[in-house]
Amino acid sequence: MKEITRRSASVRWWDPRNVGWWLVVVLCAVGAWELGTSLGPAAARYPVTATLAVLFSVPMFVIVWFLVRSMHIVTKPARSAGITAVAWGAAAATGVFAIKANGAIILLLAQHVSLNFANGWGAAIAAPITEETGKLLGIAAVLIAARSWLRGPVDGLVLGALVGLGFLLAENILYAFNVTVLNFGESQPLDTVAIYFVRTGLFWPISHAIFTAFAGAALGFWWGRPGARRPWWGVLCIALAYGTHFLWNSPLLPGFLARMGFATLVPFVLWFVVHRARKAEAAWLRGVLHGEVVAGTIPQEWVDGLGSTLHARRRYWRRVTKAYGAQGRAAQRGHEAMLVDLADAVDAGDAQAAAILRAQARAAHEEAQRRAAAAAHEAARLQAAWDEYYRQVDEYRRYWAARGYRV
Amino acid sequence: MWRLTFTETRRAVPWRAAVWTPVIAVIGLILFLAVPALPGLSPTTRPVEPGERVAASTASFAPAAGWTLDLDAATSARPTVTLGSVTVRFSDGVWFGSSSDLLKRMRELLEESGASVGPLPHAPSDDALISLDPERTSPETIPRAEYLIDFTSGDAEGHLLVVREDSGVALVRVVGPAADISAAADDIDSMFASVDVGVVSVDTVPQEPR
Repeated sequence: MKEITRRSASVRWWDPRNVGWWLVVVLCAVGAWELGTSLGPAAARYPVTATLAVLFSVPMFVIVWFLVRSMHIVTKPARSAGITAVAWGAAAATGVFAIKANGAIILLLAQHVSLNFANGWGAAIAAPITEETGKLLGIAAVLIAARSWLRGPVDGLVLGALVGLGFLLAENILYAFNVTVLNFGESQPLDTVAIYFVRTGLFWPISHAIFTAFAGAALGFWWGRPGARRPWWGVLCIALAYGTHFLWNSPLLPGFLARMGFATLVPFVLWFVVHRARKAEAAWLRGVLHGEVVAGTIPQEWVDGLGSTLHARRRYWRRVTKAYGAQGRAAQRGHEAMLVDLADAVDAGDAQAAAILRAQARAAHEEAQRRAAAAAHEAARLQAAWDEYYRQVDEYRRYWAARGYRV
Repeated sequence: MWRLTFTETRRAVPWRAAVWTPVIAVIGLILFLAVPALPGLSPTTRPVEPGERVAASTASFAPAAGWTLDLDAATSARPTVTLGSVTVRFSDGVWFGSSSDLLKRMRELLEESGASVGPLPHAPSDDALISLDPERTSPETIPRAEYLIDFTSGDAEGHLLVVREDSGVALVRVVGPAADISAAADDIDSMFASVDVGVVSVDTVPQEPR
């Protein structure tokens, strides 16, 4: 998939002078080691489960990755940031932040409250604290590794969803082993298929990708570009991230139906958050680019094309595709990337980048105007040719009609 | 000159590496090293209270009062109690095949852990809940049945009680010197008798007396 934007959150694969890069590399390595030592013995004992779990993870990764990255949003972090986010979620968030601390917190509850309380509520209390925090910090880690920042809640939402995706992939493998052990290894393929069906099919909305998307949106609402900030929405989103996870793990949802009902609600809440995030992003873009419209750098239509809702964007993209085909879509992506980069540079006070992007925008505008003028000229020429053709046909008809022929 | 940088310009202000790097590193250290060390500051075992029931995943049993309960194991769905050198470990799971195959599987698992297993008790081989053989009719329910497998592990004697009811399986594994096991026979028998394979939810687990 062609990248919409080229600048935001691009992580270099080798950047040893950057302390943020080291942070990501070291914590991912430690986490991967911890995860490997935790799952290694189970993988050796149940190789079929291990193989199937890894195989099932591939389509899941591909589907969620493309779902997240094909959203009709104009700001989008670089692919390298997405891959780093998935790696953090799978290795650092699980191995460093979650595995050891979860068990310890539940044990502390057993020591200081009661064993039954620990067994009933331990997962609800420990998992949001350790897992959500580890994933949330992953968004910040990716950003500082990329020497970048969040432009708005949509940036955070996308990065958060990808960190959550990584976590989910690792956790699914762990669950596959748990179920196989619980079944005494009776049928490794059936156990693995069953757990993947339940976790990724039946209860797909209860997903770390969605929890962390909420948390990422919160970061963007708080610390995105000033024009995109909505602090109270940030509070709501962070409450959703921790609250949804807490509620799902708690015994407050007794029975299958209650859980299904809760799982059914989550996508609607997600849609609502995406909608608000997109509106905040659009407000920021419109606000910043208004100055460029007034200065004549870009036309108002370009800003309008960025849309304020996902629905408006989809409609706009359908029109572009219908009129110009796949090439038009690719050109539109590049064009929108330039506008977002321009807004970001202008808002950040990066005069040098803004000047370069303004020049690009002006050139694109002039080129568009030149092409429009050429197209108008061509259209006028064609119209004149058609007019001349019809005039001659008319003359021909009149000539033969005057001689008594019907034409 | 080679040096690490916290590179950012003024525009990255809420995302300063100089702020986030220590925050992430410190929280990572807390959760990776400090929090896991906290339970070690208090006892991780305690005596079993009279009448207390302890659950694994879905099954539960009543360990004998006065034995020492390992809280770490109990919060990991494999409650373990000890009395002197005798250890009783409780765990559970599900099994859809025949009871005969279940016992064979138990023997395999015991042998994998280095135990030598005695002869297996007789168990039905036609009570699989799921069968790929279309000629075969599977029972809808399996009444509770208990099987005792004897084994030795090094110098220690061991007994594995396998309790099966429908697809639910509960295991009580006793390991220790033969003399000590004999001395604790009454307690062990009462633990064997207390096994409940049924689903235990938080609502139905009796509150732990403190």
